[in-house]
Amino acid sequence: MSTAVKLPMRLGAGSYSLIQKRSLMGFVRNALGLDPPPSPDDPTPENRFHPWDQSPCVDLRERAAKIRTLAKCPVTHKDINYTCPLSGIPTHHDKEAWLMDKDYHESKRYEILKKVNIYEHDLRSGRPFPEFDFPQDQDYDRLINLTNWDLFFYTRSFYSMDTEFQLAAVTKMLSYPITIGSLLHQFSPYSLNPKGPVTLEGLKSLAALRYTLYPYQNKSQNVKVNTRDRPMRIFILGARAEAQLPGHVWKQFQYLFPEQEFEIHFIGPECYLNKEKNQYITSSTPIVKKVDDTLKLVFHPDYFHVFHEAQDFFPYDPFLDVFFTFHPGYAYPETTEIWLGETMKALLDTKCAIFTTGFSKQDLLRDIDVVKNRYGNELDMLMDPVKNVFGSTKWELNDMNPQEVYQFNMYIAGFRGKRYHAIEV
Amino acid sequence: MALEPSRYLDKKTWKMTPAMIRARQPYFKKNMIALGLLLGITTGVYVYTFNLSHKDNDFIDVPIPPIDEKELAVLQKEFNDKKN
Repeated sequence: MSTAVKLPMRLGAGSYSLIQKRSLMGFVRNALGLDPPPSPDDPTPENRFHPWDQSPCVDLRERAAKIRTLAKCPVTHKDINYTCPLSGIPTHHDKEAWLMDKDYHESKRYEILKKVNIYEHDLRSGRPFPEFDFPQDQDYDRLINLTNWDLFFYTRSFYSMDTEFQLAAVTKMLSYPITIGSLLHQFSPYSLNPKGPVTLEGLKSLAALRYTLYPYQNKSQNVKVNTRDRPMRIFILGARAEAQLPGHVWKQFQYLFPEQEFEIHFIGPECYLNKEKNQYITSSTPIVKKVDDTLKLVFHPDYFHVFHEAQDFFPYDPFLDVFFTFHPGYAYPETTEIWLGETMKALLDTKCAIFTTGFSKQDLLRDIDVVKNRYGNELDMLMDPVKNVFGSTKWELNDMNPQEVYQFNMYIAGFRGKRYHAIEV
Repeated sequence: MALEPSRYLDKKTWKMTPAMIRARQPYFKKNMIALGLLLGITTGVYVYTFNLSHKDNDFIDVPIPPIDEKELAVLQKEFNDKKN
């Protein structure tokens, strides 16, 4: 009994003097205006770096093995057997091939690959993630700045994201809602040609949408009644990762337009994942998830043209409907026929604005070129391909070719089925 | 809300966090130009006024009354006595 009492007392006395010493040091440091010493848990490029095949995380070791089996060395065209010591990612057949790959060293691609490596380890490090504590609605006297990620986070009072690791984790998630928001918002970072990427046709479409989004800026009040008889619909075609984002992430999009109600429609055979069975659900009736009174997520697990032909979404209104396709892969050999057949015809038929993003500039340009070749004189470009201000800052790599690095939603462009003027008969 | 400490100031040192410095980056140059302009105007006004008011000695036209030789000698003597 007596030892049980003594022990905590002794411990208490020791820790008390330690705290005293620390706070004294802290006081001196504060008085001199010095930064506190970094905590060992804080992510740094040094403590998050591990070669993937010796990674402490099982799934990254598996991924390294997957790269070894799938990818081929860019120099020797043999299997990959050598882990680049600079990036920690298996990239080449052997050390000689690695040394010979001038393009790899001159373009400093290993620095981006290293970022892929450290970001993946950081997500699995189990550190606290206070940056995922998102802010609630915006005060009416505080404007939102959409110039870039930093200003968006600052004006929305997000957690102060001081390291690239925190940015990478949050921007990958918020890239989808905020990309949509940044296009539709009155303070959009994209300006009109020739200063910006938006064409005159694009401005017409965006102006129509903003007419609905900002009813109190309309001069005549009776128009307001006509434009707001239903929530604004945002259609996301070929939804995959974005459909699995939780409701509070999409709510961040709604906070940009506090007076507007939204329905976000996810369309595509991979839009609804049953997490227990880990398989995609197919259903002919939509699955509705209500986030709150202003925001509804609706899942339609089939191709868009099916619903279009059944007239499920009819009527479309360019003032109230907008389409987004996040990395659709219009040009990918496996998916190009699905996209460019009935679906694209249906999309152009709606005459609503369609915005699309790509993993890289080439990826997006290929997509746009394919669409233009097939439907060139039936569509207007709304927005020239340009770097997405609100793309993900987390670098990813392609397992089939580890030197191909990309970011989600890196580039963005927009088009729309041509509108013809009314012809007098 | 307004009374909460900003998330963009360090909890201990009250310095701006790196995220805030990044957010202010696009405005830094213009802010500095504006600061220079404002400081320039105030120092300009100050220097101009200082020079204007020190251009001439205002009391130069005030005549100094002439002093008698004897009186001066008395005063000088008094002064030397006090000194010693």
